[in-house]
Amino acid sequence: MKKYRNLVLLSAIILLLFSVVCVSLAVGKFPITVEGLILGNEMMGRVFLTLRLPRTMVAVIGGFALGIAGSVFQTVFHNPLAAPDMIGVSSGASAGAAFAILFASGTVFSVGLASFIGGLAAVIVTLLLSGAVKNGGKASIVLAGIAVHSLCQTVLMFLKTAADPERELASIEYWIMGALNGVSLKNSYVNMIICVVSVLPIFLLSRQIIMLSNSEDEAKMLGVPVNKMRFVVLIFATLAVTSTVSVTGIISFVGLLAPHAAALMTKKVDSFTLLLSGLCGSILLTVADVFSRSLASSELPVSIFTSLIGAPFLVWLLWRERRRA
Amino acid sequence: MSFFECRNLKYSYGKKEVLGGVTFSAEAGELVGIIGANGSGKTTLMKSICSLIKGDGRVMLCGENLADKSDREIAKAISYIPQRSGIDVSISVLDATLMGFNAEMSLLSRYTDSQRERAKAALAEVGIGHLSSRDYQSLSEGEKQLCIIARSFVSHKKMLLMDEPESSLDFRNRNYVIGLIKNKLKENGNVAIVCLHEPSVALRYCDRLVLINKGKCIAQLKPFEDKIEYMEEKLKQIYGNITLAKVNGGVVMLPDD
Repeated sequence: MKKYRNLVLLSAIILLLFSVVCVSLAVGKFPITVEGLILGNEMMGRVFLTLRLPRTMVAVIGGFALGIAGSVFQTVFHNPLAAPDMIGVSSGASAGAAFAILFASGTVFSVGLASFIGGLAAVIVTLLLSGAVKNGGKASIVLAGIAVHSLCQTVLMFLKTAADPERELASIEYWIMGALNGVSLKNSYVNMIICVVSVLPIFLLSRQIIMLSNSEDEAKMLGVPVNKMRFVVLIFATLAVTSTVSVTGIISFVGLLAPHAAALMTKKVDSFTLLLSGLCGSILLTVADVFSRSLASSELPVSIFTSLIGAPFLVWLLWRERRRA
Repeated sequence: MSFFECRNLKYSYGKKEVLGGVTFSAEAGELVGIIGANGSGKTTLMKSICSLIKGDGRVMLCGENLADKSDREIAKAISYIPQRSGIDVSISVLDATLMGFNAEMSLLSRYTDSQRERAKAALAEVGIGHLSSRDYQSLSEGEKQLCIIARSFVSHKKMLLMDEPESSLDFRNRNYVIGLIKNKLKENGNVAIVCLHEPSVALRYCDRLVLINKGKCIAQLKPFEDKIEYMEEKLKQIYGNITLAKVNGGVVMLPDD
């Protein structure tokens, strides 16, 4: 009965994702139709292969990664509001991207690479700092994360001050707001491979991740190598997030929203809910991207739409937590 | 050589000494109760025994020094129940119980059908078999405690360390669970060291009692062998004016008026 219910739920979510993907492939400044593609419309084919398909692929894979990473962060930190920025991922990536916009000509490749390095470096510094604290548990990771986040924000502010307000500052702000309009197959396929490769071990380790929801002492006495496991899963989750945001810019709320949406459907946390978190992330980011390119004459930042859904959801979540307490 | 022995265990938080050299031993099949007033160092002693915190002294289990063992080997040998489980995500009661198998499984393996059956049997044994598919978070504190006790039963370990396992349980469940633990020890030949909240429960069920006061072991009692006057004198050092009385073949502790 339970397996049957999971199968129905999974089929429904996949069907919804498939529908959203179809809409994403068709909608945009240059509408694409199935008929046009079959009849060999050259322009339509080119737009489909070089723009629409890579963009949709990044929305699906990136959203999936953000959803999975959000679920990992919330379980590992015992905090339903935990998000990648808690350990400095987004702020590190933002500082890296701003650096590339100012000092490395701001090409898509250089911005992507610098934000990837920035995000990863921030997390490694956070984990090393927390490891330096004797008997430091998850609280020390959070504190180290706040310190690294503040440091990255300072660097970002400094870079913004030095930026040309007309061009570079606008580019930095636009990157921070997130958008998928710069995505192409060439600049995203490596990131998407890293993304998929990072998510796989998270699924394999899902039982251990759930074990981390015990208190530290309990988990240790249940045979979980707590510090090592936390380090490994956070690194994989960070790799998935960083490889996504280095292509898209900062995407707000998907990592927070998707795991809760999945948990609302299954009412529990397990590897199936982890899968649903990823799929909800894919749907959310793809829908937000469709809106971002179809509601106005010029493209809008995708985070506007993820925040429009995310902010009320966050308020509802806080209200629910308060009611539970 | 005793089945379990801890010798001169010491631990300090900064300059404050919390354990000042605790020594005691236990034989296979014995239920050992640790009792003492609040803040006397009971929980620190439990954590010291299973190496969750590392102080001075030596802990021997089946002739092996736990200091020479890896964390995983210790987890395979000892089952630990904290005062309150920290599980804070929605998982089924069965999944929470299955966690007890983790130390004997490889990192990536999945639970087997046989493990699921054993977990269900453990839940039935503590009286919550009917709750196996319920969300752990929806249980009462007492039911959560029973689930965590079932988790410690699923794999047969050499030692059970339980920090006030009865504190959230009602009168009936408290006596039933401590009695169940005692029977399991006799059956499996392992040992349990249990911090107990209620001295009367400790006097009724424990083969040996270790009395802790300000981080030191002030006496060791054998409730089934020692004279009631001797036990009363020692317990007064912790609890002040009390009286021990024999009721239905057992000993209960009552406050003096």
